Amino acid sequence: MERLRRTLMYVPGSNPALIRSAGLFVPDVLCFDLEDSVALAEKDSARLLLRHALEHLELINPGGSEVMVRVNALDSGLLEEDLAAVVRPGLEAIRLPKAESAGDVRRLGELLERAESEAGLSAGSIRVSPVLESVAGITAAREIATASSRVMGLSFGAEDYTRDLGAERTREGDEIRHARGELILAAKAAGRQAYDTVFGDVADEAGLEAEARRARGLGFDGKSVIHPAQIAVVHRAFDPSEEEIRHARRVLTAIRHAEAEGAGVVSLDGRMVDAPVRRRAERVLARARLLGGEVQDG
Amino acid sequence: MTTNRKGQAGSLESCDALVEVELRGDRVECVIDSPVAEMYGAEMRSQVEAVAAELGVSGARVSVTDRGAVNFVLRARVEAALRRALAGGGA
Repeated sequence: MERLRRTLMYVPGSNPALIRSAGLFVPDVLCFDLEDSVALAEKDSARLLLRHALEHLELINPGGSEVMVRVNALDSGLLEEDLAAVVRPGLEAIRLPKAESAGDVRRLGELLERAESEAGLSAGSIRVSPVLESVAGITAAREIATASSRVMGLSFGAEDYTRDLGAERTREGDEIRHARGELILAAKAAGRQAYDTVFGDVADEAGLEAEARRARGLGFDGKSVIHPAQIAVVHRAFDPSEEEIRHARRVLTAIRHAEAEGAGVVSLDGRMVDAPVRRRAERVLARARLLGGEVQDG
Repeated sequence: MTTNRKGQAGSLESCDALVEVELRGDRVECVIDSPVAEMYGAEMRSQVEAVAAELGVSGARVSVTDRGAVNFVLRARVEAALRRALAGGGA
């Protein structure tokens, strides 16, 4: 089963204090950033900070979060130097902003293969999450999802997408409902994960919880966060509740009993338990097992 | 008369160090301003010298104003400042 990526936390690559402390909060993914949070004049020194930080993961990632770097876009002229700095043992994934075609993903793949070889990493070991944050990106979601076996999940960037659409960003999210749907559909059709956009208001915990639950309900596997305080809230929204786990156990028990008795149809609480219901129950229990003792009441 | 190439990197924010470099002379001089200079000054000095050696720099004046930077942060800032100076001088 693909690993848990409930929270993907952005950490500005130009900020030593945040680079040092972010790992202590143990998001599922640490996403060190070389793109929007780093000024152009500081790209070179941020690359060096991250390069040196990656050589000391025992200090900055004691919790074993997945290590990801958001590089600059393909058309920025900065990507190749970004990769030269950060592709080294310890790096697990690259987030590619402004992904708009399968060609973009393949081009990154070529650059990664070269960088992996130079760093002594096995070819294909670094995963990629393309960020869909434009009309073109969302339109090309299906081809992007299947462009490479490196792609483990699609990320959604609502701010840039909404601007590209000429729409207005709202709390209810009507303007991005279709894009979310397209992204999830494309990701799931390709057997990949889907990660929802950042919730910018760090002070609004209730708003974050509502949006995270809605995202989970839509089929997202996780959500990007920008502050440690958001981690626990998002994890709660994405973890199966005690009730869901209990129900999943009952489903699988009913199936086992029916199979043992040779019955053709399984029903539970007056409802038919067919293949999709069984698969859902198995997924819930697999996730609960991955979480170990962390599962809380929903 | 040519002026020596200079470069700087980092900041005075907590956990960071401001490193200012001037390429000159035939040895690496180090000036350290740090709250833990007494305990860690020598180690910081050797970090600076090691990074300079890695970049093939034999003559420089390096001034470090430390705000609690751990080793890898200091090395990254020194390398950035040296590279900026080598690239023709700039902040």
